[in-house]
Amino acid sequence: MKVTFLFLTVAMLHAGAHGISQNITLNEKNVSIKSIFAAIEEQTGYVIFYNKEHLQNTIPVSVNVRNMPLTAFLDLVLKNEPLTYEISAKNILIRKKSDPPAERVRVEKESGPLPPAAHFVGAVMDSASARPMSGVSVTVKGSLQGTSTDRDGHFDLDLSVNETVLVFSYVGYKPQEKLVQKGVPVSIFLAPATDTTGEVVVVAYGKQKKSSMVASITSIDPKELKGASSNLTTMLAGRVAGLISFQQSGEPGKDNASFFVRGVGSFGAGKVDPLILIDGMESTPDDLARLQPDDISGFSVLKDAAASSLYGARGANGVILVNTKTGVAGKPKFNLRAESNISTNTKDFKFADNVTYMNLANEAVLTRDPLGILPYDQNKIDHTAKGDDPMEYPDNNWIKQLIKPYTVNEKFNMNVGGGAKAAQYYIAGTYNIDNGVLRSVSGSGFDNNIKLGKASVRSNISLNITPTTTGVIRTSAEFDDYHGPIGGGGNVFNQAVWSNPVMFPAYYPASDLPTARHVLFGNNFIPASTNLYNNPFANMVSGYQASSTSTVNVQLELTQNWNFITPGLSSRVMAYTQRYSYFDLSRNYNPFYYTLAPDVNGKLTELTVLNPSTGTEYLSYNQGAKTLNTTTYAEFANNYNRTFNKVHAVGGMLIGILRNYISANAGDLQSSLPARNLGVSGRFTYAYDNRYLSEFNFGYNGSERFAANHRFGFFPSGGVAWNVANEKFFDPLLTTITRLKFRFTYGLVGNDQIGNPADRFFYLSNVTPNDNNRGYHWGMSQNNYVPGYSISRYANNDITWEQAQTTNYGMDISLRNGLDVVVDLYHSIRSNILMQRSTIPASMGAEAAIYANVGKASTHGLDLSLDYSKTVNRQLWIKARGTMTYAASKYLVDEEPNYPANMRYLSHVGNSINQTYGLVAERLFVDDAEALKSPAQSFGGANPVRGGDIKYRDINGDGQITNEDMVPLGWPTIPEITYGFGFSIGYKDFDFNAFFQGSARVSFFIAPHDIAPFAPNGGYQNGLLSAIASSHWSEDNQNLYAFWPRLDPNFNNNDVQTSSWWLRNGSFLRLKTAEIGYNMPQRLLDKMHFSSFRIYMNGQDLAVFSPFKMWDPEMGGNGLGYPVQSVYNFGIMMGF
Amino acid sequence: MLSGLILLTACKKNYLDVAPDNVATLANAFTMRSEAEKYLATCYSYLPNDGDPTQNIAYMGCDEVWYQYPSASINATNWAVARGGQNVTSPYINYWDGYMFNAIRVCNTFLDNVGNLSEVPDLQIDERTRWLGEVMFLKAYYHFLLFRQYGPIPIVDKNLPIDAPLEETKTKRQPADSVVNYIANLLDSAAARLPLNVLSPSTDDGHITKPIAQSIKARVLVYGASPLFNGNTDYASFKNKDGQQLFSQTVSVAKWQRAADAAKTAIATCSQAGISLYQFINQTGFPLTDTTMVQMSIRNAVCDKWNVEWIWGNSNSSTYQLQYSSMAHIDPANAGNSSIYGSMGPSLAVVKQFYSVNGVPINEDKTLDFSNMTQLRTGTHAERFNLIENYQTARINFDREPRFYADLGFDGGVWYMQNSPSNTDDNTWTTQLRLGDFGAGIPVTITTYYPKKMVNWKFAFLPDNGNHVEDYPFPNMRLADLYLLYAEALNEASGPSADVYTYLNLIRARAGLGTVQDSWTNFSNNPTKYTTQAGLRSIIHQERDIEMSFEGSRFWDLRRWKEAAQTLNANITGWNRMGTAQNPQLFYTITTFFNMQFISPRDYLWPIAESDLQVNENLVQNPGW
Repeated sequence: MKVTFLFLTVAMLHAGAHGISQNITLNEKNVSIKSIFAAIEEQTGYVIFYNKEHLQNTIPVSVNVRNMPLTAFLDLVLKNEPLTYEISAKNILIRKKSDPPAERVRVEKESGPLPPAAHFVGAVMDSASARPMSGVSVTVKGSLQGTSTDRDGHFDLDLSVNETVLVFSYVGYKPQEKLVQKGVPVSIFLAPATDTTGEVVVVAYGKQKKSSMVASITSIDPKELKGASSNLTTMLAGRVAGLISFQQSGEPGKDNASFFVRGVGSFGAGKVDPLILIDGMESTPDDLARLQPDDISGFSVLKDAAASSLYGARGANGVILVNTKTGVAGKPKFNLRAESNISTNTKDFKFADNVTYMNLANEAVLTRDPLGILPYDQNKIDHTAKGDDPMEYPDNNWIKQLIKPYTVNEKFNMNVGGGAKAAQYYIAGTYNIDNGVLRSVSGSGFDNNIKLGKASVRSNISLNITPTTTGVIRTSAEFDDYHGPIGGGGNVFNQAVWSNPVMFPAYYPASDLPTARHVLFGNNFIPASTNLYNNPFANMVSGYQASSTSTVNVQLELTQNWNFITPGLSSRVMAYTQRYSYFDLSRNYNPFYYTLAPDVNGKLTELTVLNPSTGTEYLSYNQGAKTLNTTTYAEFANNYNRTFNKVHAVGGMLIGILRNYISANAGDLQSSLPARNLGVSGRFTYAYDNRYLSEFNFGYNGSERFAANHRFGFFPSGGVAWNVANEKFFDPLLTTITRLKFRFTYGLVGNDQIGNPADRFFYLSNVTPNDNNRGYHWGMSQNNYVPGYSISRYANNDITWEQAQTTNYGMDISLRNGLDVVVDLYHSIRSNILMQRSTIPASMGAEAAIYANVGKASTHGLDLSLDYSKTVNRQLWIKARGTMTYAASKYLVDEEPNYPANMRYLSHVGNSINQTYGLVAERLFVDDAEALKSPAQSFGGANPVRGGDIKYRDINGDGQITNEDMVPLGWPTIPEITYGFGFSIGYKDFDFNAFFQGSARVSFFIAPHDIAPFAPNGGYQNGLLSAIASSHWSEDNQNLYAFWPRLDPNFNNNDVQTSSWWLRNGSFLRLKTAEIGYNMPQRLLDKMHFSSFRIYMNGQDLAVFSPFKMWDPEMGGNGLGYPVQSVYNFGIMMGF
Repeated sequence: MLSGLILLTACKKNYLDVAPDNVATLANAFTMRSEAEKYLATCYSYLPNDGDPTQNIAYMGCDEVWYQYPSASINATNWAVARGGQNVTSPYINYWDGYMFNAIRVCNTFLDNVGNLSEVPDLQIDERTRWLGEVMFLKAYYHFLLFRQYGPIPIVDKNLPIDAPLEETKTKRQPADSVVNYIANLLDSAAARLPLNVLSPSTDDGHITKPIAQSIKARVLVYGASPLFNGNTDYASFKNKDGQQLFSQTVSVAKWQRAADAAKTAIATCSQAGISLYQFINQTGFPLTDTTMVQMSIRNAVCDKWNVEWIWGNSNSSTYQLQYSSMAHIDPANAGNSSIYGSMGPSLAVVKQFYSVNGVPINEDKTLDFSNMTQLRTGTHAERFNLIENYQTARINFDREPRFYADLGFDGGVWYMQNSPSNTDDNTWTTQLRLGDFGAGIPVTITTYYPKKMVNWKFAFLPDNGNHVEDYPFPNMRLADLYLLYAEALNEASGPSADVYTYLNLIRARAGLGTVQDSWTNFSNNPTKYTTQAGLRSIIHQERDIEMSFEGSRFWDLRRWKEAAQTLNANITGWNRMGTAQNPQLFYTITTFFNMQFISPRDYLWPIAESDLQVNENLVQNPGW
């Protein structure tokens, strides 16, 4: 008797195909049964299992059927064949007619009596959803015997042994081996193959198997990037090992987080953030921010030279590669996601009450000048305290009056993928509406609150043009429509602090002056002047600005397989064009301002208009900026990948690129010239037996920025890796360590985007021939005007790109218990950093700064990621994940004066690139006498330094406090450590996850100028933060370590110097995201004809732990801006 | 496989060469006359706008005028100098790091190129010579502006290439005498190439001429001969790092003689060029009294643009800010007009400087008693062209010389303007500044005095907060200044002489005063003062203070005379502007606004920013900083 074999490879290849069509349409003449089976598989998505030998005796058939049910069709085509069939779940089992029908595949010995059959049973489930998986192949290890699971995920196997190792495998999942005993049911949870050795990672100009990688690349499951906010960049911090990231504003449209690959490596004025490529198209952080995780198939960060040197002079700051999904042949598969969320400020700054405000405003005057005129009289203070007439005695809390407690946003995402053999498609559309938290006033006819509508569409079409030629057409477009207050939302928050709270109400009730057809905004003259105060409410609601941004990308990619010439050879051409357009405009009216004037009896009752001639009731229109630019790009690549004698894996790639960028509104001739790149890059890999891996990469490319002799640069890199776990000697350890790999790379990468973008052509001088700042008027009436010449750049032929020389040591280790660890240690030296020659004396008379590639800096650090997954039982699974990125930088060569020995501390060399220098604040002065006899502090110009002002330390001992007394203060202003950790738990149909993220080794400085209370600044007059009200030096309470120094009715220049007084620890830990979800079980899904259905609630930026309490610490010195938002989100996802 | 390389080589040649050949470079400036003229304008463009009181340190750095603190109407940043805020971290009026060395570099570039006959082929030799002379002058003047502030400076006679080795760029300071000699010689070279007058005033006024070059040379030499720079032993230890002495340590009278000679030459050239002391000619069509005629001669010598007395007007400057700051509310119908600043208040120290009507200092006048200056007195009918008839004001405002009434606005004063409501000087505009009076609208200067001298008589208030300002270029040099320089230098060189008296008396005559000899002999309690060198020196200094008042001279004169340490260590005083119309006693109380301090010798010279000293180790800081 023959053994029945299942050709599981066939099963695996087709298991991914979906579709539940039960009907067949086919018109073929004289075709083999094999191709009939293929047609069935294609049309129905069913998988047919058969034994090749059985087909040897079949005869070709001719069929012409239309919508014939599957079973009838099978009956028809197999009528004259020696075969019969059996359908189980989505599997069709083909047997010889002579075989006895069976529920399952029998395993028979070739001869002899059958030993008693042992029953092996169990179920296979998806580890993430705990849903049963059908069609999973179950094989006996080392043999070809096996079966596949049924629709409930169950399998049942009869073997002639008592125990055996079964291998469970399914496309897209990690295969699993399990020792099973007869009669003991087992539960198998298959995990998606996110980080298995079979995983494929997006790398420069292609993809690579993770197991064969040498370079340091972090790839992340796009699902990890799903958060409650609609901005992808806010999800990077702590999740992607190797990225330092932080978010300083929560304003819709301006809420992108900053992110740097391995920190900031250069101190030049040029680009320090990574190159972003989405489907190979160079993109902006905004483009990345708008991407939907649903549409992403791969997300990689190239960190070391071996990974990024193919990008040559553009890769030194690291590269972020994102690929979007393509369609999979089969029936259309829809996914819908709808979310609605509540967004609220993580933290609002707090004001003191207005009675305190006025009392302290009076104190501020008196403490500096006992004879000074008090700004507020006692009567006003008393009435304000009583609150008996808020119109006459205004009592504003601008934050409460300008800012709503929360806002509601909506998000919709839809995608559909599918196709046939010849063409597959993936089409996605997204629409997100983000609203601001600003209040609006009714009746103005427009809404001044921020509303940002973000729409994007994406269509990826793959075509199999010939058996060896494939094409992909990717079209995507993003559209942003913004509407918001003039000056932006951050400005509203700033004004809330910068406005006087007691000199006028926001507005008077319309009933006070029924004849007026406009809002009666409150205001008053600034004492001893004819200027009005700044009414932040009027500013916010009296107009709006709108902008519209469109980005359209069209990309065409053709791949030709040259297997018929030599196996493993292929070519690829890709070209794209990107069109970007932006415009903005604003409309506003000039508010009419009113104040209460005395009536005939001297009582303040009558509303008087303060600006009768400048107020308007109609809107004015202001044109804004219009930006247009175009990028076109083409690349041509040849790939070669082949394994010889099963152990020698050879790979090669050679690629040429061409890029052209033009901007329509350049402003001057030099900026209007196209920006271009041209280059050839290559990658050569050789691996022996998947144990010893080596890689050589290079980029040879140039840009238009430099003189002909410096235009092209060569950036080589190389690396080796050792897969220790694949060694024979390691076998004993495989039971605990499943993967162990050591990697080493070294190479050069460049950065050509140096200096100010306007200074693109360093080899050309920049002369303005008709400069009106350098002209002169002659003549009796002074009207014989002749413009002049000015130089904004001297020509320098020697300027060239920055260069990073990076060494990377990496280790990947996976433990049997489910823990994966990836560690990378690196050291990078950035040289040729362009910097201003600050050591050229003023007497040279140079009109423009002189630059040279003289700077040098180093970075070093560690990227660590840990993953752990554990399936406890069929109901419960746990996953945990953590990353840590440490990146520290150091000046090696800085263009600076030769500081004398006693002032070496002024030198930046040896300190971080982002180190702030400032004065050392000792404490506040005890009294005027101490201030007088201490080293002179002349920052305040002519204003005397007094008791209660900040006392600085005379570091160089020259008897005066100057910039020469500035020392490095605190940690760098960009965090040296970004970390994150989180877990996911699934129980039955529910899952829960939480993720914490933090920064450490970071400092920031409070900007004292922004919060200095009472200081007039034009129409602005700062409010009083409660932190200052409760802790400041006063004559009654001479606290030498109070938060705020002696009050001053004006900006006190001595006290607002950058100093350790304002230095704060910027480290924090926050609950970044948390989510609870419910997945509908399979039986309900089937009933409702869904393929998936999930309801969830999640939140982002839910809590923060930090020693700093005044505002969200992540905002750093920008704390008075638009706060980072806490988002509470409710969503539904369904697939069908 | 090689297609990538083929692609590259195919494109490499031109693809990255995106810059067209004819982008503008500096060479363009010297291809033709019209472009070279732009470069000439560039050389001129660095001349400071001394008509802007916020930029001219002479208005913000001493006791001549005082401002309200904090100042709401004008940018008073630089006023910190007067208030003791000068520092080494970021010095005020930092010409060193500012534009002066840029200006010199630009001038050198011009001289190198235009001096080369093969450049600018269409530039004719006459014009070329003239332009070279003008730029030589500018180069010298920019050196002088630095010298005036910093004393010894590096001389930049030739430009170093931009990529010169760092060591070469680290120039050291040159001794004060060398700097003065360098500037004087360069001015000689300039003068030799310059014409007496501009060719066509309508288009060329403001171009440098020979009288300008020669009179500035006189000014430079007077500075070099003045006590601050001439044998100043305070600076005995002020040396370069290599030990080179930066200030001569012996007084040289020859320096004064050289200055006097230069001034004399300049005066002769001015006279050849038709420059003479200004006298007002009444073209209003209405009669004016002699009192007003004299005052108008004094006022218009400064404010009437391009008048015969001007040697050099900076045609690129504007006096709008100065006039807004100096104007008072004189028009009751426009009392609420807030288009003026009312910011510059002359201090009582300066008010007291003006002579009595007898032409002698008020504390020397033996016929008039000014000892009780706050005493109230009522204006009489006879005084009605200077003071409001029947209006009470302080003693100090009575019996003063014509320049007092011409130059100062004050409570109870008369302020004649071209748009006088009576068309004449009788019953004309007045200033009534006490709280409640029409002149006390927003705002009155802190001292309640106004530098009326700097407001052109065609200034007019217009309805709806408007005004008309008759702008005039700032006169950088006028003949009276040159006469005073000559008199001063000659007296210092050889003591009292006929020439000294002659030129002083010319100025006094225009100001409606008797001669020095007559005035002192008849009215002074020190009648022979003018006969000694020291006495005459004191007379010349005071004459200069009065004649050049509010024109940005006092700040520099007090320094070069080394008098600042006495004069500027004093209280800044004025009247109390909170005094009401009904309470003149309160108004006329002497109020102290500030206790001014001048630290000697530190404050005689500017601090060089510490960052400059770090960059160039060959530089030494000025003493005291």
